Amino acid sequence: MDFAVFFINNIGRIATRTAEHMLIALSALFLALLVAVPLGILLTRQEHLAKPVLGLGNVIMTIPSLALLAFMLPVLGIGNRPAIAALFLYALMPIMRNTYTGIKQVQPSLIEAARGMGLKDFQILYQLELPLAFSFILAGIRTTLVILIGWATLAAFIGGGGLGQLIWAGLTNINYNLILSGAIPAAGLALLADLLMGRLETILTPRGIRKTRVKEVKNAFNKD
Amino acid sequence: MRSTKTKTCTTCLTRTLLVLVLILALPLAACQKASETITLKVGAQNYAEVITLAYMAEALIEDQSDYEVEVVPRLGSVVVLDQAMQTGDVDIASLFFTGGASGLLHPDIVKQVENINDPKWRDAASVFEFVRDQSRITLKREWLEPLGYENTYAITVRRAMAEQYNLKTISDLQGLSADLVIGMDDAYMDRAIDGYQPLLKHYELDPFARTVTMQINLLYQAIRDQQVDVGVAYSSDARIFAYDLVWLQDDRNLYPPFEAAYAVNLSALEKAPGIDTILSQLSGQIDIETIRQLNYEVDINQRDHKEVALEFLKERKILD
Repeated sequence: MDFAVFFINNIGRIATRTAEHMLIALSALFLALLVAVPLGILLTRQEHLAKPVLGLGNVIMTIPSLALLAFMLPVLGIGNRPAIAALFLYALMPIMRNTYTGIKQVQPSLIEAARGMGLKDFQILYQLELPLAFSFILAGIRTTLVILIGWATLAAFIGGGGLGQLIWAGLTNINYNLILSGAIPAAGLALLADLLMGRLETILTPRGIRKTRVKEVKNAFNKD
Repeated sequence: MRSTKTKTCTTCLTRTLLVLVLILALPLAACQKASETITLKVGAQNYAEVITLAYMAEALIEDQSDYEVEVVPRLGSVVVLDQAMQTGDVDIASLFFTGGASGLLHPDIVKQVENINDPKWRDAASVFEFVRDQSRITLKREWLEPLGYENTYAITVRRAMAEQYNLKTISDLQGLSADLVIGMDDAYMDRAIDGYQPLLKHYELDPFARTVTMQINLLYQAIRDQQVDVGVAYSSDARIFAYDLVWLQDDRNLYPPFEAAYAVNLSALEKAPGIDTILSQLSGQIDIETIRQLNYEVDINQRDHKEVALEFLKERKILD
């Protein structure tokens, strides 16, 4: 009850923070898509690069977030830019890896058949490999987006705003309503993003391969 | 074939029994040990002075009593420390501040305050007395006599800017604020008594061009690197001096007192009598210059908190 009153009284501020939060997470995701998907495709063509590049992605993931933000501060200044840059780096790995794995799991016999039918390399990529790898790539994006929404709370550390600001303000003022007013929308956003991405996955997967795709994706993940 | 199977089962039964006995015996042994020596936990938040003071408490208590002390440093926020005190996971808080969220503005204490703008909440003695009495009743904790310094909010600017505009007091920001970027920690925005809005109102300032909230440890370099013009810093922080920032005087007396003090759970005083007397040796012993120097050793000279703490105690002959 107490919280409901607080929430309604502060709705404008919570909405602003939510918008900032989404902007940070979505910008990072968008930028990561522009880089990571082509890079993932490239890695399937240049196999010898796959190990070092994916390894580098893993190394980036291990850098503690606050340390990464602190390093970016002198370069990018304060505000949401360093936060977006940091989240962008964190988002690269899962998207790149899923793109790579997705294309690699396309059966070689299919590619051979396509080649036999006279398809060029880029035609094989666009008409065969990418559609078949699509649910893998989308699954990677889905996980990444949910993670990014969680991590965007860190933007508050460096003046980037977002829902983390409400959470931290609550934590340092011993104000539980304030903590909840940041935490609940953040959790809601993550759930909503997951739901929408799930929908998108179903819509974008060609009807003919829907059922089998789900199974294949599951099997492939179990194998790992 | 059959006999081997039975045999294995007997061995396995014996083994299980043995393991069970061990599992049961272990906590018993631990319990026995605990009853012999009492362990006190000192909790501290995540910045230099409170951690240094936690190690001072450890050194003093271990030197002058038979109690064991464990320092729990780097608790992420005051909520964690406050909760840990309430559940008894931490016995001693290093440190609480009278005007902070652990003192006057604690949700269970501020409830008892009728008018937060009453001038008596700007008076150190009356705030301390009120916070101590209320904490005893509602939070079952005892505030020890303050250490002798205040860690208040310090409105700071770069020296070059202070000289350019001849800034000495917060009032001097009148007419300038609309062109400046102000940086602060996340908590400051929401402080009802002295936060951003009260600051504007009390000093009749125009809203700043931009407000930026960030982690306090990153704020100082942001001011130095001109990403922020005016910073709401913490007055005891050594970086104010290391980065040559100017502390603008609170000429209209906006800020309440922020006296630093240890707080001890009443339950801890019961199980370990005498610790309040031991810790009170530090009361009134640490002035603002001293704490800045200690913070300088840790934050700027990168020395270990414990080493700095012991050095201070030996220098002052509180410990030999």
